[in-house]
Amino acid sequence: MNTYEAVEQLLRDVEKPARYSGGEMNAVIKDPAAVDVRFCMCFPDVYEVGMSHLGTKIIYALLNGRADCWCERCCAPWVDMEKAMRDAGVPLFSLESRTPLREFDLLGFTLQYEMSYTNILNMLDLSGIPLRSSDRGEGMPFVCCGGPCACNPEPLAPFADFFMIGDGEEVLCEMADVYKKWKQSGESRDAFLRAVAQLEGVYVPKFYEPQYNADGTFSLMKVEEGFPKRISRRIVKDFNNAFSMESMIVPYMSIVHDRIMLELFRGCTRGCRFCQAGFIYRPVRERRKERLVELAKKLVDSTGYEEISLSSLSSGDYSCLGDLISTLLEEFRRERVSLSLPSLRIDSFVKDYAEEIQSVRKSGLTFAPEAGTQRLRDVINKGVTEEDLIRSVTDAFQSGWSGVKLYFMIGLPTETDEDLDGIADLAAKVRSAYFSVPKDQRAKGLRITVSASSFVPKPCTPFQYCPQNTIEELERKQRYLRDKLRQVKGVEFNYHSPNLSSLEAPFARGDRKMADVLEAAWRKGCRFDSWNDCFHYDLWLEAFAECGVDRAFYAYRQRDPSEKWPWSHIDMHVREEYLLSEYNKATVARCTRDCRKGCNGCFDGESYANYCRISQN
Amino acid sequence: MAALMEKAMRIIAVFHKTDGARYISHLDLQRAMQRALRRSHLPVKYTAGFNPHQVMSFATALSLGATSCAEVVDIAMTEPVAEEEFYQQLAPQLPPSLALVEAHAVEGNYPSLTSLLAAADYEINLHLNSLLCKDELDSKLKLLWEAPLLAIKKTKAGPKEIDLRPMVLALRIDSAKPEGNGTRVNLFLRCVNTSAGALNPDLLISCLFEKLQMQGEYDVRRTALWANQKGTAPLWNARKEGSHEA
Repeated sequence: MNTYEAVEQLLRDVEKPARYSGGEMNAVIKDPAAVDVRFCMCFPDVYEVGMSHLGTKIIYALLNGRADCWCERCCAPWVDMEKAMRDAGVPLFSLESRTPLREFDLLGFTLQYEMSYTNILNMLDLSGIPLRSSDRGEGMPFVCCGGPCACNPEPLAPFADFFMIGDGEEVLCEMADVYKKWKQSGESRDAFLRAVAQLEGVYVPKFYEPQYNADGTFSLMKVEEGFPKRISRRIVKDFNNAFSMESMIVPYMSIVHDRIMLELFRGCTRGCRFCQAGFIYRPVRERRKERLVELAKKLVDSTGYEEISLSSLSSGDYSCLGDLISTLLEEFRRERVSLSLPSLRIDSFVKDYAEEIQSVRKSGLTFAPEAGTQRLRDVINKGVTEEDLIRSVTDAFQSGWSGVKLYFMIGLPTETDEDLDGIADLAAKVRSAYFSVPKDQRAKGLRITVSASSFVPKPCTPFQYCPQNTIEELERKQRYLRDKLRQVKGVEFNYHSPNLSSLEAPFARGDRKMADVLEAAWRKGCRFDSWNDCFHYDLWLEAFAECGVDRAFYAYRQRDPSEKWPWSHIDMHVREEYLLSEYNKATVARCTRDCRKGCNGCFDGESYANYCRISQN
Repeated sequence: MAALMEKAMRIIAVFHKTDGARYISHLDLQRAMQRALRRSHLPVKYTAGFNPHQVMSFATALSLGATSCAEVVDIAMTEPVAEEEFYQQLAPQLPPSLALVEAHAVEGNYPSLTSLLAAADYEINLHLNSLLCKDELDSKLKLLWEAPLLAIKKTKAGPKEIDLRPMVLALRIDSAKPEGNGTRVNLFLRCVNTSAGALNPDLLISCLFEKLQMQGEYDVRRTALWANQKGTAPLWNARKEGSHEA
C-alpha cells in the first residue's frame, strides 16, 4: 500500500480528517519530475493554527511562483492521528501529494512560539528523520527554521541544519538557488551547508561552537574559519515592490483566522518594551494604499473570501487607514466583502472606522492597556493613558457594543500590588463608563472580561535583562487580582496557570544546553504543550532535572548588561546599547516617543539605517 | 439534461464531492461553495441584513466520509443567467474534489429542492472479512427482510428503535467476488430521502453487519438524488412523468 492509500485508511477513524486530506482550493500541485527543489513548509501545530499563519502563506506563494520549485505543506498531526500513524507505520506526509517528508529536499519549520518546539522534534521523528543534524546522512532532507523565535536559535541549534533570520522573501529564493546548484554538483551534504552559510541571514549552527564560563553563563561563540562572525537579519527594503502573494489556499474546514490577511505594513513604531515583534521587525515599512487595493482585489478574486483582515502589528497606525477602508468597502460592496481590524490600539480606536467595519461587531472589542497604572504603562512604554481607554470604551458603548475585553500582563518588571489594584480600578472605571451612557443609547448586557497573561522576558527586547516572576509570585498575583476583581460587579477574570509561561522563559533566553531538555521532554511524551489537555508540566520538570539544567538560571536571574547573550551572533540590527538605554529608561518609568514622531536611533548605524525611512528624515 | 429555459433567476447545479472534499462537513461545504461563487463573479443574490450571505440551498447533506457524484444545490441570481454561462463561470472556480457537472436553469417559482427530494441512490463498495458468494448473500438478505429490520436511530428526542425496511426502496447485490481472505461486494441502494426522514446508509450497513454477524470495511458513494421514489424524475425536472406518484 502506498502512502496515499495508507493515509486514506487512517482518515476513516480520526477526529477532523479534513486536517489531513488536502485538496483545498488554490493548493498547488506540480509534477515532481519537473522541479529541482521540493520544499515542505512545516508548521509545528495543528492545521487550523498552521493554515492561519500569514508567513506560511507568503512562503508557499513565493516558492511555488518559481517553476523550478514545489512547496508543499505539513502541519503537526493531532495526537489521535499521530497514534494512528505510529500504529500503522505511516510516515509523516505532505498535504499536497502525500509524499513522505523524508523524501523532500528541504523541510522548513516556522518558529512562532517556543512551546511548539516539541512538535518539531515529533514531526521529524514521525518522518523517520534523525532529530539531530549531526545524525543526518547523505540523501536526507535539510531541516531549516525561521520566524520570530529564530532570533535566539540556540535551543534548537542541534536539530536544525540551518536557520534563516529575518524576512524570508529574498533569502528563501537565494537558498533555493544554492540548493539547486549544489544538487547538480553532486557534492556532499557538508558542501551545501558550507555554501548556504555564505548567504546573508543564514546561520548554520554546526560551524559555531558555544563556549561557557565556569558559572554556566555563555562566554563566546567559536566560529569556524571562513564563516560570518555575526549573522545579519534579512530585511525586505522595498515593501511595495517586494514579492506579495496574490493567491492563498482556502481551507475547507474552519480555521483560526479564516479570512484574507492584507499586510498593511511590517514593523511597528510604538516601541512597547515587552514586545519582541516590535523590535525584531523594525523598521516600519508601509505598503502604498494603491498597492494594497490592487492586492486585495487579486486576493478576493483568487480566494472568494468574505472577509479581509487589515493585518499588521498595529493597524490603527497605518498612515491612510480611513482612506484605505472607504476605498476597500466601495470596491467590494457588490461582493459583500467585509473588513476587520485585528490589532487596534486604544488610542487609535476611532468610532467612524468601527461603525464601518462590521466584523468588529461580531467578536466584541478587545483593548490592551497591558498594565493597570500609568506608572507601569510608562515602564513598558505602552504610551496609552486611562483617558484614552475610557474615551475608547465610552465610544464603543455609545456605538452599540456592550462587551469589552481588557487584556493585561502580570509579572511585568517593577510591578507591585498597586499596579494590580490599578487593573481592578480600570475595570471599575470601564463599568462606570458604560453606565455613563444613557440607558436608551446603550446596548443591554454589559460584559467586561479581564484577561491577565504572565509576562515572559524575550530576547532582543529591553526587558531581556529582567528576571521572570516565579510561579509562586505569579500565582499569588493572580489570586490577589482575582479577589480584587470580585469586588467589581459583572467582571469576568481569565487567567492561566503560569506553569507554561515558566517554561517559555528558559527557551526564550536559553542557550544550546536547552536542546537536551527539549529532547528529553519530547522523549517523555511532551508535545502540543500550548494545548491545555496535552501539557504535562511534571514531565517537563523531570526533563530539566535529568539534564541537570536549572530553570531559574535562565528565567529568574537578573542579567548583568556585561553578560554575553547566547544569541549575540545573531544581529537583529537594533543596537544592544539602544536596548540597554530603553531598559534603563524603563526602570525610571520614562517613555520613548513613537518613532513616527522622530527617529530614536535604534539601528546600528551605517548598514541598516538606510532601510528605515524614518531615520533618514 | 433537460433545459427548461434559456436564462433563469435560479440555477440548480450538480457537483461531485470526492477525494479531499469527502471529509468536509456540510457547513464547510456551504462555505466552500459560497467562496467559489464569489470567485465566479456570477450575479448571485444575497440576503439582506447585517451578515449578508448568498441565497442558496442544498438538497440534502452527505454523511462525512461518503463521496458523491450527484450533489445538488439551488442558487438564486439577481439577474437571469444562462446554464452555459453559469457552468463556464463556476466550473473553473471549484477544486477537482468539488467538480461541477451540470447546471440547470429553473423558473423563479420552481419548488424548493428540499420539498422535492424523495429518494437517494448509493453505491456501496464493501470488503467483507468472510468468504461468501453472491447467491449466499442474496438468500441471507432475503431471509432478513422477512422480519422487521430494527436499528437504533439517534434522534433529537434520544435514541429510537425503527424498522429500516420501509426506508429501503431497493437493495441489490451487483457483484460479490473473493478478494484476499474476504469478499468484495458491490451493493446498490435506493432509499427514502425527504426532509421528514432519510436513511443513512451507514446505519443500514452497521445493522446488516450486526444481523448477519459480518465485519468489514466499506465506502459509500451517492450516485443520484431523485424527486420521486421510482428514480425517474431529476430534481431540476420534477414535473417529468411519474414524479408525483402516491
